[in-house]
Amino acid sequence: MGRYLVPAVLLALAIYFIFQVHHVLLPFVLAATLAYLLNPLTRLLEVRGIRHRIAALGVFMLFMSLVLAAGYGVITAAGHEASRLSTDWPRVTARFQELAIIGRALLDRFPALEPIAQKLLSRESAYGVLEKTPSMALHALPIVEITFLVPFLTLFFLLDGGTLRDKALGLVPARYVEMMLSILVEIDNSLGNYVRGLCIQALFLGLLAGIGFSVIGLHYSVQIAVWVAATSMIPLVGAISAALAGGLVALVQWGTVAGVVKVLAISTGIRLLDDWLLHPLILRRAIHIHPAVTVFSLMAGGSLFGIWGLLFAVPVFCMVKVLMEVVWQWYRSEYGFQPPHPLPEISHIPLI
Amino acid sequence: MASWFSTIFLDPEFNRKREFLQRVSLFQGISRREFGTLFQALVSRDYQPGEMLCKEGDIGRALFILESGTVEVTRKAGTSEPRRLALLKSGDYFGEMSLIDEQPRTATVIATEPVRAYLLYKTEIDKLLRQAPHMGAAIMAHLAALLAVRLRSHMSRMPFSLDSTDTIEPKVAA
Repeated sequence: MGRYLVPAVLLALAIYFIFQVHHVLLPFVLAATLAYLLNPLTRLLEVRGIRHRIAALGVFMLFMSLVLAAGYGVITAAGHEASRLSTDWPRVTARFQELAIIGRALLDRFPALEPIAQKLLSRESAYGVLEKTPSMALHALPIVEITFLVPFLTLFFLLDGGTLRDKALGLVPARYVEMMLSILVEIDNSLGNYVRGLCIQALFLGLLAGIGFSVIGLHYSVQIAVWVAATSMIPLVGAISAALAGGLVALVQWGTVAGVVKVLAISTGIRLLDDWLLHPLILRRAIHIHPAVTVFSLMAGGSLFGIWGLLFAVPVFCMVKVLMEVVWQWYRSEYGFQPPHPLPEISHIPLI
Repeated sequence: MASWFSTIFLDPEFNRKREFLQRVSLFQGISRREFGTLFQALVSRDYQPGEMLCKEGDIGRALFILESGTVEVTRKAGTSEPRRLALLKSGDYFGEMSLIDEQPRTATVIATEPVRAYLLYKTEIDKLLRQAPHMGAAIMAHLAALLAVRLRSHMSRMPFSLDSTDTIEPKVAA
């Protein structure tokens, strides 16, 4: 028992330290995730005999070119939209005035809502938003930091590639190399399956949003579909982002409650399809975790670490699951329990 | 032009590893251009003299291929003193049964000099069977042939040892 005490204490200290500094780990985790996602492309080149560093650099440059091209496209499109909005401004303000009149009529009909509306539109509330603006700007600063830091760290992780894994294996006592290797490979497979499942799920959700919004004739349905697919990479967020983006466009386009209700109905449909069909079909098969457990881990992650908790809850749960499975197998074999896989019975047909 | 390209872009280790692995009997059925895929499934590890590569009784999870150095294979099998079974050298491999059944190792393997080994983990061979079936099948066919040879050899020595109601006993090499 004593021989496990020191590693257990060291592990507990490491976990405590990581928890204490988790707010500065974000760029590292993001960069490692990005490098992990780009690594298969590097491998495709390496399989053909290309040097690892050249392959990693090539993949990184290609990725950054795509990101910059996409950024340029978004900025150009935003410029066009801004100029179009400036011409449409009188129409948009007229729509908002109509909405204000509808709101007033609603309040006249349901006086119970009056205090809530007053609170929302009060001077204190407006001042509250103004007071919070500097702190919101300060919170946005890490985003700037991340924008520059993450690409640099990603390149570092990509260049290191398998060296980190080999170094980690080199540090493990020789007898436990196989166990460590099994943990690393199983985690890699589990995460790979999860990422693939998530990508397929995001594709379906984007497609559903695109089709649904096109059917009701909503403007920018393709752009909203792309946005929904991108935000669906964060579990539970896809349908909400569809409702928000679609609702905003519907409000400006039609200016009626009916239009917003149509968008909300489609978003609810997407959410239900996601929960009842896509999630069990795609993710459960990919990661072999019960949907209820997945939802619990998402809620726990979200409650502990917010949006980043939602993003990384399932991958972390997959890692812990693999770790526990391998350690349990090792424990059983170490203490003489039955072997992990049952032995097949010999056929009654003699060997000839 | 070609030599300039290969100096800058191509990995010299790639050819060296390929030439070595082509000599390993387990990979005889693999074509030259498929070795790149195989490298992705292998993990290399250096061992110092006296280090234990695997222990009798531990669950086997990987096949070991010796690139350099020698290892000693011993088995206790109920006795207090381990009995030496074999001395393996560069190009030899052991632990192939782990690629099939993940049962406890039947022998202990210790490095007798600095060793460099490649490890092929079971899940990686399963992945090869799905993603590059020709290669996975070639490796598994070689393993099947090897097991058949061993089984015939055992049967010729103990022809009545296998009873129809028994389970297969893990009595093959580590």
